[in-house]
Amino acid sequence: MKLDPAEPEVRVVIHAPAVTEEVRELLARLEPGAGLLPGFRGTEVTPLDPLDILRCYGEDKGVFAQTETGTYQLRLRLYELERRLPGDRFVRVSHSEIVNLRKVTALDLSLTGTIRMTLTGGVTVYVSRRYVKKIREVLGL
Amino acid sequence: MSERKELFREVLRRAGIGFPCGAAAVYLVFLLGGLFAFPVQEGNSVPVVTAAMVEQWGNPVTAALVQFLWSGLLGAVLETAEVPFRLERHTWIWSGVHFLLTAAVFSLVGYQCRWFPYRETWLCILGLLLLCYLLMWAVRYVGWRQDVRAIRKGVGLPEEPERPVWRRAVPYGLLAVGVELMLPWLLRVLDARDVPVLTGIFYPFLILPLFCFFSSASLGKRCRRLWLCYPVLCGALTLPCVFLLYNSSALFQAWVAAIAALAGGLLGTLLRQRTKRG
Repeated sequence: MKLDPAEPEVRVVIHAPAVTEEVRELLARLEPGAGLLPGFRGTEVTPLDPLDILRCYGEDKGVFAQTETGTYQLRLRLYELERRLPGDRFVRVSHSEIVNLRKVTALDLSLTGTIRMTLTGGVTVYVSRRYVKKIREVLGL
Repeated sequence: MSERKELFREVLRRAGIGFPCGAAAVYLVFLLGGLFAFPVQEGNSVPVVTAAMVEQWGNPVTAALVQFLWSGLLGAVLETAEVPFRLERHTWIWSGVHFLLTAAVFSLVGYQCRWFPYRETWLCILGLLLLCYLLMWAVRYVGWRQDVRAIRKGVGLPEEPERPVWRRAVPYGLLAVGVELMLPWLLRVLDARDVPVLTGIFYPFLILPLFCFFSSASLGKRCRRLWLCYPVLCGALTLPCVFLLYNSSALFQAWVAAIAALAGGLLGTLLRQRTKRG
């Protein structure tokens, strides 16, 4: 990152030996509106800002995104979402759930060893102990 | 691969490792027991099976082979003790089920191999097995707690609110009730009938003062004034067992408990003050 007050606007320059798949993916991410995810609810399609998403989860062979305003179906697989969502903010907490770490309001451990995560709006998620190491890595702990 | 299949494979893998380890451990115990036995065994050979088992199977080789299979089975079951922790739900139930299974297999193997001529020995080892399970749980739980604390900090949540002093002291009280009201009865069951070493020597002169001292030191470190009640509680809690299990000649236990708790509490207070200054 180069900060220069003389620059009129934000510019991104990609240095690469060739136009590879990785470069294409990076370009796609930089496209205006590329960060938004289309959320389906009945016949309605709503562009979802990932920052507003509380969690994404798989249920009945479908993948859903829950925000503070409602739940939307996504046409992506969880592993695809994992790649698309910002890695420093979203983390998989169980086999079927990805959570926005900035929306966590409480975290408790029960006597029986169950880790319960509460998100904004009182949404409760159970963290798989198998994913704890990954969560710690994402948080840089 | 589905989770169930993965778990099944893990059980088989661990059982495969546990079988030879279990068999080897049992023979090692026999060999070490034979080498350090007192009085020294006659002849050069060290027995690897009990005399009762040899008698049951006719000759020592057959008995040793049968014991190999049984001890291998025990090793296989013990090695899978960690598997319930891989389950995400009802871990404690599955861990309890595993303990019961291990206790059943252990009792069966012990009976088949004639390891325990006395019921007390068998009960004592079952108690140790239970202790190992509880310890395993405690170690895991502490690890999970540290993980949760780290994640809480990482996501910017406030530290857990500090519990009121009396709530911090409750576990110490419960522990004292367990050690001073229940443990003597358990030790009496396990004690030898001729010389009650556990209740006569170990409990009043070792377990009781050490427990009172260290638990009070810990309490004194955590609770500023409340620990002063602890020596009184420790002394008072010995009284029911003194009169029900022993007789008035064992009244010294009340003083032993109270003085050890007082000394421990003072040490805890000193440590707390030192930490504060540091």
